[in-house]
Amino acid sequence: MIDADSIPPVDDDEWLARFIVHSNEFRNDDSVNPKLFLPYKRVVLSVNRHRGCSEKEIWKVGSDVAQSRKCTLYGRADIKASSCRIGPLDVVPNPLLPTNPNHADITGFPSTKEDQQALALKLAGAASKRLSVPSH
Amino acid sequence: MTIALPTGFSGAAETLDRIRDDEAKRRDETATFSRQPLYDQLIDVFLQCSKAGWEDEDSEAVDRETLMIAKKFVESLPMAYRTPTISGEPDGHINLEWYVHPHRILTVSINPNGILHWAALIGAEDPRGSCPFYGEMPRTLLYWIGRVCNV
Repeated sequence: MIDADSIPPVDDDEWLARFIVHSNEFRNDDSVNPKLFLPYKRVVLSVNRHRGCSEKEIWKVGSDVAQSRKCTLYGRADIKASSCRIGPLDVVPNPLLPTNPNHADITGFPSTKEDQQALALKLAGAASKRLSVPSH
Repeated sequence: MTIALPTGFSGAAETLDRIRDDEAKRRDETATFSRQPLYDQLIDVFLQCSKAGWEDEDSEAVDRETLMIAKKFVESLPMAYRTPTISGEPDGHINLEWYVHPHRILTVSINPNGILHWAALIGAEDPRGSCPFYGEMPRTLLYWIGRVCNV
C-alpha cells in the first residue's frame, strides 16, 4: 500500500480498480456496463490505486468495500488513470486513513445526466473486462 | 350497372377491410410476440426496482409512471431494430442499452417526467442529448440507434 504519510499525486500511467458490487454492472461476456462509471448523488467516483499494492491487498479492499455496502463483490475492472482524464475529469488521491491510503476519486463529472452518460460510456470502453474475485 | 357497381365496390371494400383488419391483427400479434421479451424485461425491472433502497441505501424506486412511459417507448420502437437491454438505475430511471461492443453503444435513460437522456459512442463520435418523449420515437434517437445497430 502507499505510505500514508506521503501520498503522491496520481500519475497518468497508474492503474486503478473500480470494484463491481452489482450484477447489472457487467455483461455475460464480462465487459463492463457504463453503469459502473455513472455517478449517482455524488458527482465523483471511487477508485482504488494499484500503486504499491499486491493483488491480495487490492482484493482485500474490494472485499471491504462490498462488506461496508452490504453487497456482493462480483469482481473489479481496471482502468489507466490517463483513460480517466478525459474532458472535465481528473483523478485525485482521496486516502481513507488509516485503512486505505490508496483510495482516489474520479472528479469533475458534469451535472447533466446525458453528459455523465457520455463520459461513462468512454470510461467503460477504456476499462478492462471484469476480473473475477479469486476463489481462494 | 350503375346499381351493380356500388354493390361490387361495397363487396370489394368489405373484403379489403377484412384483409386490412386481418393484416393489422397479424401485425399486432407479431409485434406483441416480438416485443414480449422487452415487456418481460420491463416487468423484471419493476419487480426488482420498485422499492426505495433496491440497490444501495440511497437508490430511488422506479415508479409505475416511469414504467408506463418506458412501455410506450418500447412500443414506439420499429421492429427492425435490435432489442435493447433494459435495467433500473439508482436514480429511479429506466435504462435501455443498445450494445454492439464497447465502442459501439447507445444508452437511453427514461425519467419519471418522460424526459429521455441519451448518449452514444460510435468510435470517436460521442453524441448525446435529452428530449421529452411524447409517445413517438424521436427521429434523432432513431438515427443514432440505426447508426449503432447498422440498420
